Amino acid sequence: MPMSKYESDAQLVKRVLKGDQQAFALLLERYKDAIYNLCYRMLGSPQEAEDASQETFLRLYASLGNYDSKRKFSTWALRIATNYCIDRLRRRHQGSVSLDTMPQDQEENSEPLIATLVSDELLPEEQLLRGEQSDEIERALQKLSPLYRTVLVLRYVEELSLDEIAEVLDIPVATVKTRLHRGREALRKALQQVEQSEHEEAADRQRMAGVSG
Amino acid sequence: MNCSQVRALLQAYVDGDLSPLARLRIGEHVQRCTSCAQYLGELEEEVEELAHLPKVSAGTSFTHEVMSRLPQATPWSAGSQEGSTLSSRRSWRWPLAAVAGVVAVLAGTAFLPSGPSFASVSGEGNIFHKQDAVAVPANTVVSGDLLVEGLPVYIQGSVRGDIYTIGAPIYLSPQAHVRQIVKVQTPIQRVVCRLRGWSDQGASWLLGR
Repeated sequence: MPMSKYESDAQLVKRVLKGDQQAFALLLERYKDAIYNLCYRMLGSPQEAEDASQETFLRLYASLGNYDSKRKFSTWALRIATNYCIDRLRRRHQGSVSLDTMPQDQEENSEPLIATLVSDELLPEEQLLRGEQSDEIERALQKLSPLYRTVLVLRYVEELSLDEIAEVLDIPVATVKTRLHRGREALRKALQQVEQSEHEEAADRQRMAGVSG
Repeated sequence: MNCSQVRALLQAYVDGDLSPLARLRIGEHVQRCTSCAQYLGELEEEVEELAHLPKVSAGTSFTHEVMSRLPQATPWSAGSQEGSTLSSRRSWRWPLAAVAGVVAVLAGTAFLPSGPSFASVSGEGNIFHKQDAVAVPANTVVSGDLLVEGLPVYIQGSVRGDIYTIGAPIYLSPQAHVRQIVKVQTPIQRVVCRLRGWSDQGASWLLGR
């Protein structure tokens, strides 16, 4: 394909604003996977990720008139997606508090109620996708508070630099670093818990097998 | 460096965020200290696993589904677009038509019943009210409440009061400032009455219903 065929994000946005709706489809094709990955790792289920990604693009479209072409389109899109996912997680969290009598978790020692609301059952195609290791890390990730999860996902799933994360979240780089440090520490602890509970389950199964056999 | 000093720096070490000298010191310590080495190993493994989480893809029909859900009307502010370049396709005529249909509500309350849909602002502020959408454009402040029934609402500016909607989707731009959105089941005129302390009859009279 000749180089002149490639249109920048800003050019596509301009076309949409002038009434060419098809140009929005090109933007969608460009960024749907990045947005879907973010939503999937933030929310933990394919159905919710699909829903949240669609909502992100609808919001993006509705506010396209405000897009500042001096900024990167990808950063702006990720920002809308991130804010939406965090809102969703908070709503989920609030909802569970009224149903549950469990104590409110603290930011520091986060084993959120969210974790209890995420189904452990995997769809067959997901089971195929996931190795055992990534399964553990995914479960651990879902145990983190939204703020920590956000920086980890932006850093390692979206592969953004610290500066880019700062821009997406509209916070200073120093804050990004602090959250990243705490997030990794929280994830380390969550991983240990996940591994421990798996060992216990395995031991239980063995005992059961011993009793019945 | 002792263990607690090293632990405090290991996170920055993983980010490659330390001076060469500090890296050297930590490297030396980790070679001697098994517990710090284990800690660092865990951190590095965790980062490795995060970076290698399988990439997932949106479904093949994703683009089509989003495109089919795009609103008919768009609220992009007429001010920033040159009107002459707007295409004549129905969905894009909105900004032009909005100029004709601009509802300037100043100091007071206005009701604009139009068929089954309805929009009202209390206090000061400009809203765009068209047959198929209501918008609070960028850089616009509505000082009071906004009540909308049966129309999509696009908010780019600020609404200082509450927003009441019934049967109406609401879209907020990232720049939007809103205090509270209340999705009501009650017919809007009853909400108006409750807010203003009027009787229901007053509202139906006002609305001509």
